[in-house]
Amino acid sequence: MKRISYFCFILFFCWFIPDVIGQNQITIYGYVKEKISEEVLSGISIMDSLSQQGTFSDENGFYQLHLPQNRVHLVASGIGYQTSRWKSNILQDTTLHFELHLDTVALQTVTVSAARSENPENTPILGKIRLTAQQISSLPSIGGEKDVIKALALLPGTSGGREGQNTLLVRGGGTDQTLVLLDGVPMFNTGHLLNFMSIFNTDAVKNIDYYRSGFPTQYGGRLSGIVDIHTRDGNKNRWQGKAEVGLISTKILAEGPLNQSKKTTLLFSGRSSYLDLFSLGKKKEVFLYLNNSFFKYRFFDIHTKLSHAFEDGSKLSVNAFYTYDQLNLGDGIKSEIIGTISETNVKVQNFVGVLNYQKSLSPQLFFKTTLFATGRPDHRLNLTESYRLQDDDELGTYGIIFPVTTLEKIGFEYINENYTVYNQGIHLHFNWSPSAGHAIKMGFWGQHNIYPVYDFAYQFQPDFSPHQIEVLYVKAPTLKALEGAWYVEDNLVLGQWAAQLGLRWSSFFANQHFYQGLSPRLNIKYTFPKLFTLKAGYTHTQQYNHLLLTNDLLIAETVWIPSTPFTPPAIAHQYSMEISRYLKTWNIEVSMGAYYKNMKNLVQYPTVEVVDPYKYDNWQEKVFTNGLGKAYGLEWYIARSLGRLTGLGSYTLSWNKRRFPDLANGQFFPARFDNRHAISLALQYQFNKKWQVSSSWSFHNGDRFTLPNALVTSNPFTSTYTINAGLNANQLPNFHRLDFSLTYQKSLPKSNLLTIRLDVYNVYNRANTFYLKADKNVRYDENWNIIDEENVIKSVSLFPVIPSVSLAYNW
Amino acid sequence: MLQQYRLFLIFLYSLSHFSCEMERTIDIELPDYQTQIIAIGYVSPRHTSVFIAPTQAPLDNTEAPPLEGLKVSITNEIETISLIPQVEGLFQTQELLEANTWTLNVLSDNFPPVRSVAQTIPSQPTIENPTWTLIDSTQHKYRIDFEFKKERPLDYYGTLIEKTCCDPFPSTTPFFNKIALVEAVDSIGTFSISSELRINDNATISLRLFHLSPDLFQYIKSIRTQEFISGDYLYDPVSVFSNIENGVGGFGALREDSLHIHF
Repeated sequence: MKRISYFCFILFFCWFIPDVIGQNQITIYGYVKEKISEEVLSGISIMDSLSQQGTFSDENGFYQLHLPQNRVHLVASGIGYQTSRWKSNILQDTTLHFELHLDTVALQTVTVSAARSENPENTPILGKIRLTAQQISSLPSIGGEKDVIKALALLPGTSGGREGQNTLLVRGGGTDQTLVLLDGVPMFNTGHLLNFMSIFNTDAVKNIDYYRSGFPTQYGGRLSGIVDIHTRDGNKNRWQGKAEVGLISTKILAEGPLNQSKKTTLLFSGRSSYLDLFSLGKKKEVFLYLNNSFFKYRFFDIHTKLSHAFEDGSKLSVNAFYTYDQLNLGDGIKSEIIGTISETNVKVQNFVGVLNYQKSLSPQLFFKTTLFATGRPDHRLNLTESYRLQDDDELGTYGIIFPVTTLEKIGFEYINENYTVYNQGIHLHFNWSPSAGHAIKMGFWGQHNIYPVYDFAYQFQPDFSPHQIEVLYVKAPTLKALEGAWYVEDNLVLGQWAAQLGLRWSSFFANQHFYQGLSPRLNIKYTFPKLFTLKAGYTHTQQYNHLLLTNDLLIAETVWIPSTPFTPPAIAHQYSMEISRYLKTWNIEVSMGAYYKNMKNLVQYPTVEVVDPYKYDNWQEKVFTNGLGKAYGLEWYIARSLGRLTGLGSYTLSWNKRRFPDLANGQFFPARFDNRHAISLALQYQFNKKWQVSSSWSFHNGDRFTLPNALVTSNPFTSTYTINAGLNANQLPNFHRLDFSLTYQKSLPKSNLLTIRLDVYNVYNRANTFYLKADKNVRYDENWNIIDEENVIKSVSLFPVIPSVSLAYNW
Repeated sequence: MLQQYRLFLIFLYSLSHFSCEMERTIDIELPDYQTQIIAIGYVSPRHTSVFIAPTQAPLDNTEAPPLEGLKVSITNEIETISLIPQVEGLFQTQELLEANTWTLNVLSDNFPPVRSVAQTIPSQPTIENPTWTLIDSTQHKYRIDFEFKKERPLDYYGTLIEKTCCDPFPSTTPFFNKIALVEAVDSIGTFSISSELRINDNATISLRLFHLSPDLFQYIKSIRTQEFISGDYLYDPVSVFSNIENGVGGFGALREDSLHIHF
């Protein structure tokens, strides 16, 4: 490790040699925007066709190009946009903004999954894929709910975890090892309560940068993957909107300029489920008559973004993002004289506030800062009440006597839990481009975490015992942490070579303990002209926050804990390489990659009782620590981005292992998601401007689980326990599923658009396993006597074939 | 039109709702099951105790075959001491052992011979500075403290504080499950143990300090870990340590110091 750091240090200073010998250059810089909405565009190629030097616009739409003082012929091009050209003699630094028109013909055919909107041969970063909102929207979905996270799960080296779930497991990493950023803000949770849908409304999303390796140094804090979601600013030229009605939710989007100068824009998007319209039973009746049951679930999310562009080219934007989920279920049971009611009420919220400011300080220097605050309150109530029923008569008006049943509360149990996690932070980022083919990125990331703010209140009165009320109130100690990182990264292009070298120094201070670490990153690319591009890289990552999942239920609490001496920071080293080729004639990209990743200080939290007042007090005693992880594999990828037929295919062959001192006798065992073979296919065909068909199919080997092969019965020395043949030695049946969608678009007057879409989830009704349960198959005779019984393992599946129709209206 | 649309939505939603929780029996190849001998226990200088039984099939209710012609002994290079059968699979001896290293042997007519990894009885631990303080007279609540010295890293200790006399509800927790392991195995120095108990008059409290062999420590830790997470064995399983050849279980060595306090 020290050798790697030393090598990086030497290399870093050698880097500046090209700048010393650079001469007589001018800088052309500016923003690339879409002509009509003036939304900034990233990943657009800006190329001088005379000197053959070029660059790409960054995530802020900003570009810098260093060229000799001479005549230039600039060409700005990107998939889905008409090419723009600009010729001139340049003698000094010049600001030049490009405004590209949408290519309506190409737009129709871009892409299910032309996952890379930039030519992969032009960047040294390994494992980066960019998805746009259009690409995600074109994929089939469940109930018409387009989903960012599920779209990413189709990509090589990436797994979506269990069927229908909103998790992203990258190259053998765990649920908590993928950093998801919304406009630069780390999110605690990405799924709505039942975790079937992500909280991100694709209508407000511009694009997503997804990294499996080769992380730029501005990213850190997670071991395995980065998902950087950028939202749109809103149309600067006119008000426009979209309303959509689907099976699960209804959505609305409105965006436009707030003033005449068109410098300020507003984007509002909202989504609300109406599953509660179909809720089962009525809570009020259950509580009145102690009978029947009720179930109600609803969610909504709101995103608002206000952006202002200043005269000097700088930009200020303010984001507010809020989600709300509520699950309420319960039942009433009545016997002759006593009745009971039980109710569970879960409310989970996410809120994010972001302030972004960016400015070009000079032709060579770009600056961006982000201030943010996030939080995730989680409130849970479990209630049980017992009542004595008493039949009585009541005297009504005019002397009429009514029979009534009165309820007398005779016992209760209330369990009230509140769990909240907050953080606030700042990110400063500089991009300095001193000479042609040379850019330095540097910055600081700091955040203050507060977790977990947890309290537990318990009240219990046994039936008919009003004087024996038990009360327990537990408030877990709040932990606070300061997390910071300084980073610098150098990007250099020399002929056929390109390299990205970076260092990230991160630190973490919590509970009187200080941790720090240096994370070197290196990506190198060499292009064999007309053959292929070879990339290789090394990524070192550190993770200071660990996720505890308290159970395996759909409404699992997600609890983040800081590094402590007991749970030190997790560390990963990843070595990867990739060979890729872009076949221009066919618009096809093919690549093959390999990776090897080892991880240490992993944490695993076992299944525990859901109701445990001390679960956040003594988690350190329960968690399995000092885990090692090993993941390696090969990935193949093919994608076509232009034409009537577009799509992607990927195949991943991988191994994923874990080792914990207290599990499996300290031996390596397969991780739960050690899915050896994984295949994804997504295809889209554009018949004409009205009709489009899209389909995706995914397959992977079943998840791992453990079956006991012997039972040690209770004895004077131990309780009953099981003997396992091997941890995670068994495998669920293979997972595979076909999804399909058919889209019809009809142009209406005044550029309005009506879209009708049919989605079919799980076309051939594959019963993929959601979880297993041990059960008995019992056979009875005609007198209901047991003939024989057989112990079996049953697979429970959640989603059969689900057809759905959605209707969208754009104006 | 609106009514039709609503009906259509209800139909689609019902379809998905009623098809939820689809259960089916799946064909999972179960691991081969073969009955094995369970051997669990410990050897100590004054008292050796071992439990012997056949394993049960985890997914089957069939009775395990009985162990026929069972002979249980502990041996070292010089001598063999037979253990005397007690109730329900328990074998014990009170014979004073002079040698330090012992191996458990189990012979039966219908199973291959079972043998443990050799165990060395650790050095004598000592309870130091025991104190008991009344902290709540209304509830008869006492705090009991004692100390012990751990002189070498990788020495393994466990403690047990329990009522041994006159408890109206005596504990039925198995012996190994009651021992509190001292987890800081790498540390050395003086360790303080403290416990708060409700103690009535005439009760007897036992303070017990165990110096454990590494195998016994690891075995107790793994069964405790599995017990802790045993909500559903299909999730998050833990492999329990075993040092029994041709069988399963844990056989270890311990040496004990104890103190009985009468109230």
